[in-house]
Amino acid sequence: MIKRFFIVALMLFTAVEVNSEELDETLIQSSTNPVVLQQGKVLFEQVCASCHNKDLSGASGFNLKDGEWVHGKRPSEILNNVKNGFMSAGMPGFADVFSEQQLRSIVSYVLSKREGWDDLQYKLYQLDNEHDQVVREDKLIKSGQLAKNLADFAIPEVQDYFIEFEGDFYAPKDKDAQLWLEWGAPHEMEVFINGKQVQRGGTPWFPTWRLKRGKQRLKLTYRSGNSKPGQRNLTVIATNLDMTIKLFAVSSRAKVIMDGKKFEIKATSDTIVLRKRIHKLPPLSISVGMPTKLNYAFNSKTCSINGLWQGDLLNIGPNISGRGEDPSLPLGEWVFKSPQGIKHATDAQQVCSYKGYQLVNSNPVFNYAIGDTNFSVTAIAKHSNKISFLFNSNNENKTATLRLPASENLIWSSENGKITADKAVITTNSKGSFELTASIEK
Amino acid sequence: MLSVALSINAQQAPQHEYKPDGYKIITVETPKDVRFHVTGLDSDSAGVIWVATRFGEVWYLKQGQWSKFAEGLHEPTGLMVDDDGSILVAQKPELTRLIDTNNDNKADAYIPVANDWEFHDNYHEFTFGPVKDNAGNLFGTLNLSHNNPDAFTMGVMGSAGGNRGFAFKVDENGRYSPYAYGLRSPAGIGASPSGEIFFTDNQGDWVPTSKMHLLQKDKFYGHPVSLIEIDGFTKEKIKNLSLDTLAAMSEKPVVWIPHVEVANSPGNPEWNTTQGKFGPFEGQIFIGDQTQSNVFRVLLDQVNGKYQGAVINFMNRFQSGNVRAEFDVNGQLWIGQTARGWGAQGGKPFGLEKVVWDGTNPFELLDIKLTKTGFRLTYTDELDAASVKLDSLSAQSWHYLYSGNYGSPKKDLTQLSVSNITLSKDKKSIDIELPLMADKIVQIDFAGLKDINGRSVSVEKVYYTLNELIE
Repeated sequence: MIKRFFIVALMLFTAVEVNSEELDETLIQSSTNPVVLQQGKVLFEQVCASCHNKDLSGASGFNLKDGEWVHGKRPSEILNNVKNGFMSAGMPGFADVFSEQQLRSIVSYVLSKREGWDDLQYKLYQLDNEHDQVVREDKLIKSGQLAKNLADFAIPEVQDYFIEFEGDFYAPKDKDAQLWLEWGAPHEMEVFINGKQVQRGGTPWFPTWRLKRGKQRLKLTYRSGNSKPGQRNLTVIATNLDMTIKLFAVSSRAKVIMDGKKFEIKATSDTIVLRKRIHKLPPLSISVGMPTKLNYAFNSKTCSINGLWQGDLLNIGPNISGRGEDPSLPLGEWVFKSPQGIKHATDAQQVCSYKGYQLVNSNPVFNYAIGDTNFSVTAIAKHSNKISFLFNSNNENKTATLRLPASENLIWSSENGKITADKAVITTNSKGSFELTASIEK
Repeated sequence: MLSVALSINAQQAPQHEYKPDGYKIITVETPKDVRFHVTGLDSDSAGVIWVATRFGEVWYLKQGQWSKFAEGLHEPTGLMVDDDGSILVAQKPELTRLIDTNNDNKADAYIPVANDWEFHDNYHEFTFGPVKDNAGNLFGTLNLSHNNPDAFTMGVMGSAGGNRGFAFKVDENGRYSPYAYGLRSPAGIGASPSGEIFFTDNQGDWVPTSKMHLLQKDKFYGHPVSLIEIDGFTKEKIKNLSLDTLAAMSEKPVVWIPHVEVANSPGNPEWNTTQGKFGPFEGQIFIGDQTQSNVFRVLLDQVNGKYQGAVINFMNRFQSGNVRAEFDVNGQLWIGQTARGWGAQGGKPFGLEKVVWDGTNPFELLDIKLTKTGFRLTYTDELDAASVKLDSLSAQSWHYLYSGNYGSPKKDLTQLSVSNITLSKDKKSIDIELPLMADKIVQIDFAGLKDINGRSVSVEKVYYTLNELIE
């Protein structure tokens, strides 16, 4: 059934268009077709992600999600550019590498990831004074299109004004999002979606406006009022609802800030130990990235392995730009994360004592004590689907119980004891050691 | 009308470049393509400069070469070279000792010295320090949080518990204890040559202007939210405390640091014990300011057995925000800098500079001491007797309003009339008489004074914190 749907989808997709408008329409239609998108995603990650990044946010190549299209934003233009490339800029053409249908699937995938404004227009009205709230056509002094598709609050050069930005807007399709205005208390900004005003939420200094999912018509208005002239270049960012992730820039000033929120740390030759605030992990989690594209976290408060993810280590940009208020983001897929973890089953009163880590050929060995027993743990990952945690203690031939994360994707094994659904009952060997191995099933 | 005009002028930073004769700023080249926000800074007995960066690395500068010693740390904002040569670094969640156990010049052991406080992943929960007293105890300070929905707040900054807003002590046996409380953003801590610990705190809610305190056990320093961890207090009870009650509980600062004019966000107090290698300002405290990109001096006085004293600007126009200061064995004043998240007058985002002295004797105010009838001001060079006259000086006083508001304007700004001025026999000091009132800041302007070579000072205002009159 799936296969048949796939063939039909591809047949539709390769129908011949008589002109570029039709081609544009075809590509836009297919950008909502899950079969096409899956194919496009696979191809994109194989060939495009190395320059444009897996999340399309850009690296040596341009950001392909935002509203700025240097070589033309029409789907037919994008397809043409993928086919012919820009050799002078280091981008090869792919016309001879992939079939027409494959190339179109890549473009459709790119279109499906679109975020932020499109066809953004602005209108600037000059007001009589800071109290003037009457916006009439005869006060319109400037209007136009914003090629970068970012609300540019630095346009006005008059003292008292009302500015409005309106265009199509792409919010995430698969998660809720909101607009967030930084230091917003003194500012009269209003938001309209599909013609209806959206209620201002959040806190006085950091107000928010809920977005709809996917494509919508968005209008932002701003009246200068009695705000300080030096503070009117507003920072407006789309964020997730708990504000732990800033998704993309909505205003020009925000773009500068968001550009600083990308600083990816990847283990290439050596293991990396990194202490940062990490999204979805509790405080005091120490991250470890291994060149085999497996990463884990050791928590120094609970002395547990409280996170495991495949891929690269972290984008620490959110945690090292501005005041560093946002968490670092793991660059891959979680296998398990806190509150799941590998933890000693101990009495509730028994607290662990973290003793630090020692680097052995760049690989950390974490030391801790529970009661009178000293432990150490380190990890070895020969490839991205298998990781072994090597424990050592000063207790030889003793039994210990460890809680394990419950996951259908994980198969645990140990030569030192018995593994059941969510725990390992092991006996340390004559040197006080034991090993736990996790195989990660796709 | 006069008082309105004064209060407007009051919040302005000096517009001119100020620097004493014989001193200059040298910009130090930092490692290429490295985010070198210097928030921890110390030097060792061999003159090696040690740096911790906000990015999370530790570097050292030896014979003109930078080498990386450690990495992967959580936004450290303090570093100290310990007596055994190991490096102590204050990460947000932990005070950590870095040890090179295999002698390859890189740390391979990252050992917790203290992690007993709580870190809630809030960006503002910095750990500052450590410094060591003469008995071998380590001290540090713990910043309150900002925008933490789980925190107890009475204004801007908050505490979700776990000794936020406390100073802490780690004794020689490694035992941690909370030491004092009521701190806000205590971004600088320092140990005097005699082993007393002082700290600075940044202007904001419950801190009307930045200040420097003597750190003493179990004392309360004014920001109320950390009281939630003190026996006998509840959130409700704290919120119902009157301003007068809170003020009476609070320690007085050794110096108030006038906002904008001198500093907005002062860093660590650093004592000049260079034995003359840094010129005439021996024994004095130097502090950098992150916002104003300047360095100012603290001139300690002791009145009725208690510290009080004055602040005076020293040099401005550094390249970035000055948060760390350190004198090395060669008598150079190193300044660690960052401007990320909190802007600075200097336009650079980060860096390292140093101030060096070429041996020229400058003409500046050297010191100020309270007398029974006014102040004795001592200069670095002999004064021109002709300039020692009443209209060469002016003075004013004010105080600040302690409250949950974000900072305080100057209150009761009053012109003071200087009634007498006397030149000392050695021509380096003047005694001035003026009306004195306790709990005031007294600003003395002496732009009209000249030295025997006809020089004017580069910094003409000193601000004395008059907690007490001489009994």
